[in-house]
Amino acid sequence: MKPFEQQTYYEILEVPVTAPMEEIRAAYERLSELYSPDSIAVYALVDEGQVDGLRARMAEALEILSDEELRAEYDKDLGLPARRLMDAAATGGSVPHADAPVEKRAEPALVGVAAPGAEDETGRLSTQVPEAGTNGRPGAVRDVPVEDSEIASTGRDGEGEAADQATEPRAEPMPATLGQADFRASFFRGFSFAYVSSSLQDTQRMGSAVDVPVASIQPQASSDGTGTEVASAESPREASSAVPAAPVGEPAVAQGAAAVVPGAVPASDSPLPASASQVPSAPPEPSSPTPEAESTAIVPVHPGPSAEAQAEPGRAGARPGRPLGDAPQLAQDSAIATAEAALAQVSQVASRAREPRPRIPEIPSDAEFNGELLRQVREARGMTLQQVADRTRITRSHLENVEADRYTALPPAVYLRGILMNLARELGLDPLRVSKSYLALSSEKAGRK
Amino acid sequence: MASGPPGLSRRPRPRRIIAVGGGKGGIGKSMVSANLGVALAQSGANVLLVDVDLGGANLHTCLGVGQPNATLSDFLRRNKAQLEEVIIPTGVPRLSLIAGAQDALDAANLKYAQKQKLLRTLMGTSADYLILDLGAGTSFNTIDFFILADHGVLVMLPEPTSVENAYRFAKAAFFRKLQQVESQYGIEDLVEDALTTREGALRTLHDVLAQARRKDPAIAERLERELSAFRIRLVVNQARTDADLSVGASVAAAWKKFFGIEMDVLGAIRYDDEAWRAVRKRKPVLLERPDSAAATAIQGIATRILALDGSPQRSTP
Repeated sequence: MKPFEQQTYYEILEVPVTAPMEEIRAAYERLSELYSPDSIAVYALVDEGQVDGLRARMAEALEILSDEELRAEYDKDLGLPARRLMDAAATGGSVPHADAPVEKRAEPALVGVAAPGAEDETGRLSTQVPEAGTNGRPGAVRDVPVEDSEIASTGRDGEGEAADQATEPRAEPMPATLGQADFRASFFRGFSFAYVSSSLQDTQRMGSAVDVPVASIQPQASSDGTGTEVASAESPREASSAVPAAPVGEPAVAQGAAAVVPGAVPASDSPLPASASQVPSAPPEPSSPTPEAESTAIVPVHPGPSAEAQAEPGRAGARPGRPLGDAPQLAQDSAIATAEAALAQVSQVASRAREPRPRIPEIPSDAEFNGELLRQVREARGMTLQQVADRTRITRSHLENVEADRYTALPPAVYLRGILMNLARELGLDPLRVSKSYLALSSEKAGRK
Repeated sequence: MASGPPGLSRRPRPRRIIAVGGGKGGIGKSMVSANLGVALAQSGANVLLVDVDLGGANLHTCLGVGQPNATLSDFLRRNKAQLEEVIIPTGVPRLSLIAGAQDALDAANLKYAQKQKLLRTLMGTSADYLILDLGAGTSFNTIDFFILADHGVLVMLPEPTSVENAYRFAKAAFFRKLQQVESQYGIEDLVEDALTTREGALRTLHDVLAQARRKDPAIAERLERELSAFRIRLVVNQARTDADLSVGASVAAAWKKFFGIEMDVLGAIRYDDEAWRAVRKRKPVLLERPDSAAATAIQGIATRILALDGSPQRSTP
């Protein structure tokens, strides 16, 4: 019985301390909806000030936990670091060096460390516990089952079943075609090679798996194969449109892709000490969907980009490396990184699509938030400009200018930031991400800093 | 009737007491009570429904019993009355009813002694389930029945007005509970302070605990355990959209977030024309249209209650 003022950031967001980034963001979004000013659940519950206070705490929690360094620091304050550093050390020993792609591999590496020479078992394990991957929140499911009831308050159960069905065909062929040993070996040999080999294997596997998941993955995979960045907001939307079309496949995409996300995020970050950045991407459970997912992302062999993919290059070319926003230069380093980034996006889309939030199913949390996207979110929410203006007390002309990307007409960045944060909050988006993304755009375009 | 009135059997205390409240009026408390009673009776339990909505009794109408000859007020007014005398059959096997007061204008203002007598007698009945249909509002009369129950069922509609009243009701219940246990723990002064502050902020519940902790950590812990043992169980009625169905979960989550106290969600009942038609026909929807969405939802709620109480024991005739 702790008042929320005394709760840790993890408790505030109701996630386990091992929660990967994806889960933290999802939790934040779910909770911001629950505690939005017009949410019925908080009506007359407490003073408005208290709800505002909670929301501020939530934003703070997200800010800290979504930054690897700050989170590591915070964990240390909480007294968590011992375990996390230990985990990191365990994986760190097997990792050659701490550059981005390596960290991305932390998860498979951990599998290897945890179960040396037991590849088959790992493979089997993954079929036994498909929920781990399908959830996209591996930590939540097994680490802190207590939390589960809260997190799953709205209809995760049915989802799990659906995901199970979709997972089986994927997990089944795994040990045969993509052994952990191969995977690990190639991983240590070098990334490009690893990717080629695994992608070939994967192609094979995908060919053999005749179920819908393949169909829904392919557009994504092939668009990655074009080697262009999938920074634009278009791509995620394509993905989500593909997803409902193939309901069976949807969880599969999510599964494969979601597992990557925790890794993909640090991958784009500026290099951090291995100890800090690996941990979140290395939940103790072996998560073999990850290698699969990665390999599906890197499928250059795939023929022709589908119609979906065509819209992307133009946009993507304009803003290379944007998808992860944080460190474009790193993202440009290799096509691999960008492909991964794209996959991360796909994953977020896919996992989002499974979220019980039909209102804005198509917005990935690390999409580039330009005015157009914000407008689409607003419309998906069924809100008019005037309603937003009334609720946020942002003047309508500002909102119009924001949505029209008229950067020069907008107020200075320091005010714009506040506007964006408010707007994002109203739309149920991550305020920090939106403002960061949008401000980057505006300063880029308007030459303003 | 398949079995005699529950009051006649030998067991000293009803196995479980379910109190159905909700703060706001017109949200279907009586409808939920009546149908829950039918559902539990159909599952084999001996059920006694009591209309404690003293000011606006209408449970008998929900059950299609007609104007009752004997009511709770008869029992309350006559000194030597036996509760058994006012128990009437409902036509549903294993389900009997004590109708609410019909006549006395001041029946709603139960005197303390009367309330004690009623509580004592009700506690002495031996049905498997005693279902108390509470009136609207958060008067102590209502709250006291609510907190004495094993299952405090809080009915709400997915509407701000109803949610507001439900929260008020829940807060009142907790403070009343606190007041009840205060003497055991020697925290009267703390509770007094808490109760005299503005009603809206149950934040003070944390404060009470914090102060109690300063005074005696052991007591605070016991107090905390006692408070969290008292779980309100939510039922969302007249859910019209899918989003409405999850209001219960949202409310429980928000409640926990701010007060650290768990609420259970028993289920949501979809808005259903069949339910409305059944009321018009003065029949429980569970009997009238057992396949309707509302009836199915109530059966689900009954099942959850039975599950909470462990295996659904069938009473021996």
